[in-house]
Amino acid sequence: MKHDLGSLLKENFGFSEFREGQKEVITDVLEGEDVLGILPTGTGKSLCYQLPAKILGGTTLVVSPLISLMVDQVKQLKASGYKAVTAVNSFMDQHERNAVLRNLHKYSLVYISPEMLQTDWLQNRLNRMHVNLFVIDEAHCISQWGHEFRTDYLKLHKTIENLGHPTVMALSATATPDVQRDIMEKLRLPHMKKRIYPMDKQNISFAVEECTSPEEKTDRIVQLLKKNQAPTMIYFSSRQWAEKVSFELRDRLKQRVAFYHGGMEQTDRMLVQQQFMNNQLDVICCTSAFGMGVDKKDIRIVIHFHLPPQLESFIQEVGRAGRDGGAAFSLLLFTRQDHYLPQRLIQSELPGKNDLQQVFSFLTKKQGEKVPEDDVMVERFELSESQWNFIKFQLEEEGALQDGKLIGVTPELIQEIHRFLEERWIYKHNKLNEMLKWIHASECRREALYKPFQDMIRKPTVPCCDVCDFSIGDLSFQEERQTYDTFSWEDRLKLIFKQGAGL
Amino acid sequence: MFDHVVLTCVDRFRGERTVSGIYHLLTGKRSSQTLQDAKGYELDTLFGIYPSLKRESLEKRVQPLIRDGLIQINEQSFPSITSEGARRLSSFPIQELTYFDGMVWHDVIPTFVRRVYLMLQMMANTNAGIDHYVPIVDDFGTQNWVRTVHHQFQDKLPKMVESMYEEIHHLLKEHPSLQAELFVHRLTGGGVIGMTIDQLKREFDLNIEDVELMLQHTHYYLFLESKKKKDRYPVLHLCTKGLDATHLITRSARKTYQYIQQGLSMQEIMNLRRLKKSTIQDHIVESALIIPDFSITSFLSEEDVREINKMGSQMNTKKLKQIYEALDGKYDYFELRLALAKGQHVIKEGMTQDEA
Repeated sequence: MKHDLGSLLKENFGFSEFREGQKEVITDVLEGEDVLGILPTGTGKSLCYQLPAKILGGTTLVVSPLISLMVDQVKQLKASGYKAVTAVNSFMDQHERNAVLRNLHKYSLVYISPEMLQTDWLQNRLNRMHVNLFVIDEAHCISQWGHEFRTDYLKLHKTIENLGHPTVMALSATATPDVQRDIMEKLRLPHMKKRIYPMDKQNISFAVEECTSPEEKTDRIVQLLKKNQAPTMIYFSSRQWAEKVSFELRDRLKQRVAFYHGGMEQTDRMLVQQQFMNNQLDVICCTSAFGMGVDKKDIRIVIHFHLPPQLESFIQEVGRAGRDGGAAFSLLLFTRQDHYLPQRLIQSELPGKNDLQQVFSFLTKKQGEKVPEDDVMVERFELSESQWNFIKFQLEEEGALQDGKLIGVTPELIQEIHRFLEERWIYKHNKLNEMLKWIHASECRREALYKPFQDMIRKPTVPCCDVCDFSIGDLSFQEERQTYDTFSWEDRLKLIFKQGAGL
Repeated sequence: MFDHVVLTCVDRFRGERTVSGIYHLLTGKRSSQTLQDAKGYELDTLFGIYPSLKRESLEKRVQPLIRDGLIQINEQSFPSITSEGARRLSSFPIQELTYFDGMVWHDVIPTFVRRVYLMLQMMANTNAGIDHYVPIVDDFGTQNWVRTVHHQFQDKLPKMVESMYEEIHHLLKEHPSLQAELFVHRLTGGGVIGMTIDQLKREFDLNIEDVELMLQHTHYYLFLESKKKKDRYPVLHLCTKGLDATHLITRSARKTYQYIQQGLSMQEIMNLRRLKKSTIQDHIVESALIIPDFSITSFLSEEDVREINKMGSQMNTKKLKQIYEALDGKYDYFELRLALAKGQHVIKEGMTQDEA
């Protein structure tokens, strides 16, 4: 079956040409081949399954790691006129969920969280439908997060099997060769076709600066943004910092600044996103919760106020800049103390050795009984949710936990889990060390950043980095902006309803 | 504005209720205690006007009122108003919160608000030629409602857009200007994205609670005016369709009420419903509060009701313990609550007769 992909693209999405990699990945799945696509951020990964969904008919299932990301994507698709799309998630109320499930077969694109996918009633429902394409978005979650808090990602291979093996498309923006192998291994699909595209951004200049204190970082940002006015994102590792710095910037800059994080109320979160998209905001102070699913093309500056825990996160976040192809700039600020921040994050994800010992000496006595509820365990042993998830998943994987009952918690098993835990610690620390190595490197930052992911680094179209030929002082973004802030309510109401002239 | 609401509550509660009582009242807790308080202390207009209020925020806002000597806390931690507080209370421009009518409408206001915001976005966007956008209201039911309106009135849409603008403009002109500012800056449509609560707070230099209460007051205002004047505000009136006054009675209490109407005794209802005596009693009190013509003669004679209420007004208190002691324990607490609940209607009716 041959398709005129070019005219289908135009017809359905209004684009006249494909971006790099899209056509290849689409052709693969149309020919029924399982494919692993590594396409850099901002190249329109989602189109890779949205177009086949239209062509193949039936249902395309998209597994997506974050509910907020899913909901955003569905909203955007609907807003752009793609109506046969829905997201099944635990946030829906009963009424809405029933309505969606009743009509599930009518949707061409169904977004779903991996946890939701594990429920029996949904699997039954899916078995009675024609799932023609099974998409795993952010497929690196299998490797990067899977062992800690996305344990259900590791069960996807069973779901694929249960569905009679529809064509599988695994997508990611950042995956080293190791991670790529891991994805195929965990999906039990060793023969996937690999479509790997370079992720180096030719239009971004890089700089890294050491500061002595958080205050100095803020001063530096103020200095930079006084001179440059353009859509800017500043990433923080915590909600408190995002808020705190946003308040300070608001006082010290003429720019319009807001914060964004996962702890905000739903409506406010959407408003901030929309304001930024709509150029009613200049600077967003956010956690990593922002960005995924936000497709703003003209972000010029991305600043990291804290160190991301690994290069992959950094690359993804930086990749939100300059999607329109225009010049963009990345600045990472760090202090010596910052090295401990990601370390603490790792500690909160993985259980410590002592935790493990205590939990197991408790569980060994519970052989043949049900494991206590999650929150009971979390409280009793003072674990974080992801720490307990880690332990529980290991028990399930090793067959020591079946239908909620403990069977065969043996010393060998405990030793095995200890060994695995150690491996994860080392892995995570290596990741962090790569990040640390990068900020302290004396070689070209672009080279050092992308080298683990691809063989050839392309020549940048902008000044390269602060090691090579770039100086922050040369940076000069001055963009026009509209502002409604000083309007009285009457003017603003007129503007909303387009009443009267001259506004 | 929030301070004023708190002071009003403290004043009306006359040192007989805790800060928790105020919290339950403003968030609209459906317990017979809170309902009875709302009626008994004539605070029913403020019942449930601020469902998202956080307990800590209330505690935090009470502190400066104590510090500034507007209220004082007695040894049982009941707040009461000082003469300074009373002065402050009377100097407040009362028209800024006259539209609150929580007891009757708090249940339907959120639906009205969602409809208005989404319908306005739909209309303003249609008007501006924006076809694709993210709906400002996530709620499934509201989206369906607006979609239906859109289909139903497709050919009249341009006229309705015109009218909606004119209706809102007209209503806000007659409204305190700060509240008008907040409301309009919160709106999204026609390519303009509304502000978050936090942004409003900073832009207008207010407290979060004031921003939220003022918005809420404007919502009540728009609702009540457009509900009343269909011809003057046709589009907003459409948003009030099907939203009727609630007879605030819990489903469980209604059941008990129905059994009593059928002539069952308290004991029989207890057996039938497998509920504790105190729960059934709560239901009976609740019914007496809400349903004016509920006859309670099987529990208390009219004479008893009169005696208890008379003692209450003589002592100028709603505190059960004081009345109980003053009547030498002649009635139990259930009977006292029931009588006071019943007395509410008698007084109110008496008042309207006098006024008439």
